[in-house]
Amino acid sequence: MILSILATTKLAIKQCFKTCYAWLLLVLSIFCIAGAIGRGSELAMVRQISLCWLPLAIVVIFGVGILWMGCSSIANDIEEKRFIGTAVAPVKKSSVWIGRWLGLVLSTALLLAIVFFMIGINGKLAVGSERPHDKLELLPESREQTINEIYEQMLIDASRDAGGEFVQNKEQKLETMKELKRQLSWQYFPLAAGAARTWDFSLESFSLKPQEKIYLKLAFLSMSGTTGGADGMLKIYNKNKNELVAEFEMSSDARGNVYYEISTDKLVGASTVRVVFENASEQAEGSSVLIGYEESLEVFAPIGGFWQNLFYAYLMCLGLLSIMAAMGISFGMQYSFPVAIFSAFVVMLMLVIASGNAINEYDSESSCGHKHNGEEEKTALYSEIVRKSAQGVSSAVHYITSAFIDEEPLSKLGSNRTISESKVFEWSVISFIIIPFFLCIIGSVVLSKKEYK
Amino acid sequence: MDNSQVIKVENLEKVFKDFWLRPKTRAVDGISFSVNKGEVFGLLGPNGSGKSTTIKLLLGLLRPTGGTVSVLGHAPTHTATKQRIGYLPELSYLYKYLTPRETLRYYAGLFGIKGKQADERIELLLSQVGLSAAADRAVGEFSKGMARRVGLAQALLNDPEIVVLDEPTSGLDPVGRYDVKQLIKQLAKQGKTVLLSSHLLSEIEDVCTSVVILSQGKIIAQGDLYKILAEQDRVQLDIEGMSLDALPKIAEQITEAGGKFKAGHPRMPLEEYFLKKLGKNK
Repeated sequence: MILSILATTKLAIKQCFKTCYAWLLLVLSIFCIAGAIGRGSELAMVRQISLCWLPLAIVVIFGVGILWMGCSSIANDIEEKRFIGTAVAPVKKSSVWIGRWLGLVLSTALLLAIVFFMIGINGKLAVGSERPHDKLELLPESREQTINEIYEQMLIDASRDAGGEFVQNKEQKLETMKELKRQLSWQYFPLAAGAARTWDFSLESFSLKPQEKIYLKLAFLSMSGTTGGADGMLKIYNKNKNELVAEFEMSSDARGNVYYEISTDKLVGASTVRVVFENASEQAEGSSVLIGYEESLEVFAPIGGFWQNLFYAYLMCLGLLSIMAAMGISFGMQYSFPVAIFSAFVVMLMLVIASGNAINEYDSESSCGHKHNGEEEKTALYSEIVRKSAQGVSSAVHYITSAFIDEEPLSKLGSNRTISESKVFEWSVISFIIIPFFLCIIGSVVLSKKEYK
Repeated sequence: MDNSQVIKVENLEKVFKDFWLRPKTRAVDGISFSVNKGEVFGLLGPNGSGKSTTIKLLLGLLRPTGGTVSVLGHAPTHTATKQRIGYLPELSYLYKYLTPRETLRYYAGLFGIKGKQADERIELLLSQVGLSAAADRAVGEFSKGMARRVGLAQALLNDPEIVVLDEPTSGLDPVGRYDVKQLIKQLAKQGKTVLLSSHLLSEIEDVCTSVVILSQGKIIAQGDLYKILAEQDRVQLDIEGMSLDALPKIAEQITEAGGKFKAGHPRMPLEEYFLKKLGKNK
């Protein structure tokens, strides 16, 4: 069986490289990359194009190619009777399926690796001089008041100040709301003498290594409105272990933005880092310190490895292409090439749409669920059953497709976070084993029932 | 099944249906025959008589709508049985981007023939079918005859017990046809069973020991070729090295016995003459 799989794999690889398939994909991809080089002067823009949009565009190109090649691989062989030679050989149909799929995936893997490597070089050149750290996300529970609560309060205050009039004037209302949002981003809140403020930051998407550094940037105002100038202690904890990692004594001489450097040694494996600022002024005579809602404290940690992220993204994209190859081959075993390619495209499209529907259904269910009563309930029964069934199906489809529809891996690449290893593993198992396994069974059964006139 | 019978067909029937599953063509209509081990068996018939369909039913490429087929004691779809069968289809359907060597290597892989053994077998077959010089050219560049030779090598790759050849000489020049006939005779000498389908009567006559003649999916004649073709009321004398002076005496005796005769020099078939001129006929 292994020999026959290998023989079929080699054939499929030769098919890819001796026909225009491989070279067309490569040329198209190189055009994409060439188009991005030097685009925009800002590093962030180049990075976003290089690391997010380029793989997306290339995966779309490869997706169309692999679906085309998968469908034509066996469909054309059957139609042009070349498959007869294989059909009379002592091979299991599943071996043929596996061989074709492996060949197609391996060829694509090689081409995709070349393309991703080029993207990597392009991206690295673009972002090479940039500080290799990224901002940590502030966890919502560490905020004393949610941003919405603050905004609502400000809106009420503004309405009261305007004598309640601006609520009727839609244009004025919108203008006020815009201004409030701008103010909100600069809003500072007092921290009384002797009091403490705690911030929790998520380290979940960062995989820290020992002997690295994370940076804290603290900016605050004294009551007089000048930057800096407060006595206090800044303490950093590994929240998971409740262990003190570092502490800094602050003096009133500190001015402007103050940076603190912390070793990652005690933070490796932690999911949350806690920062506590204690206003050390005497309660009786000390002054309050103004702490900004968002800007007063920022923490930067080393970003996930550029190449590691790119490799994970490569694996996940290849996983998606592997599903498309499997689908193409199974459809090609059932139908003639034009029918197979049309059906495969329609199914892929439906998967994407169904996935979007699943998300919408989920959102509407969670945010505005309502109850029926009496007659309404009876008449709505049928539509409710249909809705539930559709939701069930689309949820199932969503489960399969969510890994690449939601955000992984491309948006993560763009935001410079580390792609989670477990997510990559989970998606790899689904895309390289589970889905191809089921499609292999379907394809093999179809092929064994086929007649060769 | 008799041990000597390697293929047994009973009341075999194949009806092709249209899109709505209505019967469209009755390609094979209740035929029965058997092929013995070591026999060169011919399936003879005009175009559309059901020869190729019968062969595809024997190979499991089509499923019968009636009757039974047994090949080497098993159903034709039995995977292990396929290991012992070689098949040359009516046209050589090959991957145009592969060379003959790559093509044979691919099929060697499917038949589980490994490394050195495969290489040796491939080289032997390439030289047998006269493709050693063109072994590394893409098949897409080949003429029909050359592609046919690749197909023939492919059919013999697994050293099969049963060789099924569907129109093996179609597209071949006289030299190629001669080579194929010689190869079939050689296979028969090696004790292999050859099932041959053709509408070329001379081809069947030259190599086959038994035949089935099909017309419109039905058997119209079958049996030992020698017995079928023998005309019991005629006697053929093949005299060599006799003086023509002796002819009147012989003629007189034949006339006295009530016989009629024609005398003259026998004619060599054109194919034989052609091959002789090319120095191919031994």
